[in-house]
Amino acid sequence: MKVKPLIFVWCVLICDIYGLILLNCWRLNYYFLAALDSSRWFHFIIYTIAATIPLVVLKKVRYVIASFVPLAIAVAAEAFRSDVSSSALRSQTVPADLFGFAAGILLGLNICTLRRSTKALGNGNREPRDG
Amino acid sequence: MYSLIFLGIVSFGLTLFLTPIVRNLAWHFGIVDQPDQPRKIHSAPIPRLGGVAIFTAVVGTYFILLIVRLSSGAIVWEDLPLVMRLVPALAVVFGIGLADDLLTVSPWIRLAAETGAAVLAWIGGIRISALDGYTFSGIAISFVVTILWIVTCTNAINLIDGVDGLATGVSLFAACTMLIAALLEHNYPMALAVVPLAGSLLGFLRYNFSPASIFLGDSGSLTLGFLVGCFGAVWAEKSTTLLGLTAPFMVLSIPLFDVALAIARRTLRGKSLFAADDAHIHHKLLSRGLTPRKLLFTIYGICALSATASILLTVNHNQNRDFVLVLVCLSAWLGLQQLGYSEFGIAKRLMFSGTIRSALSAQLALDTFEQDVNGDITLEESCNMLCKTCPQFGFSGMVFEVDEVKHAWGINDGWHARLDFPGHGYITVWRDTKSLSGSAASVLFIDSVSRVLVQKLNRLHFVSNE
Repeated sequence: MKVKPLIFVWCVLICDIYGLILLNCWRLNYYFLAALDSSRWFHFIIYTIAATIPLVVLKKVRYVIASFVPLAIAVAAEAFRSDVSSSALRSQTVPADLFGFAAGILLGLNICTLRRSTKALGNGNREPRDG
Repeated sequence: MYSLIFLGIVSFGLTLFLTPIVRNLAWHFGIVDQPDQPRKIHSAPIPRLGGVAIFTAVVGTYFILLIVRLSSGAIVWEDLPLVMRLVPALAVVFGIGLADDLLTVSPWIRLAAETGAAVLAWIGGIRISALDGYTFSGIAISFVVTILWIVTCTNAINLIDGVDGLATGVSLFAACTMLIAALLEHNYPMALAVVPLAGSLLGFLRYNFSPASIFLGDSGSLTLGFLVGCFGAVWAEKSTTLLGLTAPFMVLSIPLFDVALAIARRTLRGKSLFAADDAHIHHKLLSRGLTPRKLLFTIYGICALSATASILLTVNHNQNRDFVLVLVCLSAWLGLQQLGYSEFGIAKRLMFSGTIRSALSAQLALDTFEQDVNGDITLEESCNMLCKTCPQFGFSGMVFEVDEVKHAWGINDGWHARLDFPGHGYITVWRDTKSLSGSAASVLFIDSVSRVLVQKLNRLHFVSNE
């Protein structure tokens, strides 16, 4: 079975997301990671990419849905993580995760539609010429 | 609060009562919309003075409130100036709409009247003085933005009024959202202004929902668009400064998206901005096989989503507005792709697949060829020039037999075009049927060869005679 490179990227992203949640960034003084973790836009972009890749790469709907499960768990874990003491920060990052998730789905659907229309256009152009 | 409930119930009841009367009057005087154009999707004539019922109900409701003198009448009287200031402008918009329903008004006159009404509203205090948290430095910018917003909203609701219950439903969603936002922000004057509109729209929807027994007409759609635009401006002004126009923009996303598409589409096609066509969002959805009712529920669903988002923005004091805007843009992109507008697909191809670049290089090659042949060169040199230029336009072979110059070049395979020069000879150019390069430019090239060679031969003939 041929595995596409983007799936590796997706796996790395998921590992990163879980790593950030599990690592006690604040207590172990990973200042750079902590700064990233507290950025709303970082959360938004990471979740957007993580939600877009399965839609673009995977062909079967059930695989796509299955690939969303780890992301959903990550969002839930983010909401209940204990290392972030400030509820204000959590109230910023969790919506950013959810918005990123939604944006990723929309972006993925857009790319799929774009690819389908380009393919149809290519076939439409070529057929009369070959004939 | 009682005044609000009273206003809502009275306007709802008045519209329920007035609409059948207006409908019968319209039938009596023959003011009906005939299904005589391809854009019209109804099969029988339908009266089109619904706006009269809504306008009368909204104005009548305030009169009844003032006559009844509820205990909160004094508060109402204090807060009514917003409504009162809008009356002259509203009269202008309603008047021009009614004139368009009864007679036919030129689009330019209509636009001028809408602009005039927007100016009156601005003078009356409906102003957008900040956008996206930035306060405008000069009054002129506020004036331009306000006029632009109100006129766009007025035309947006007018443009989507192409399916039974669509413009009424979208306006109802907008009015209800603005009412909720006004109540959340304790903006009593705005709530007082919006309630009668929401009530009368709900009452009118009873007759306008698919299959409709009466249409809004221009008097209705223009009035609704104008009122919704004005209330949107008030909402933007009164809400927390950072919110700006985002929330009103989202509530009216469908009509505004449609008007933006119409402008872009007609500009790309080189058509007049006022030229009617059957490529609005509702036409596209109908052509995808949706029944009018399914279409209504689809658009109502989108309106409900965007209304919820704008209320959430208001409640959260603009937190996550940037993310919401990203989602709105992505949704608009998806919607645009699903609707399948060929204009945008072709424009995208022209811009991104190098079509413009290849057209430009072909034009440059043509110019060079014409300049060289028109210069002081012999017929044989012109023939060589032709041999050199042919491959740039996808031609694989050529036979040149003009006067004493005879030359053959390349592979004579595929389709060919023969150019005759009476009294001198002919040129035949060959093009491979599988060649994809410069297919459009090849016609331009043949035309250019014909034109330039005729001039050249005439010139050579003239010189030899001398």
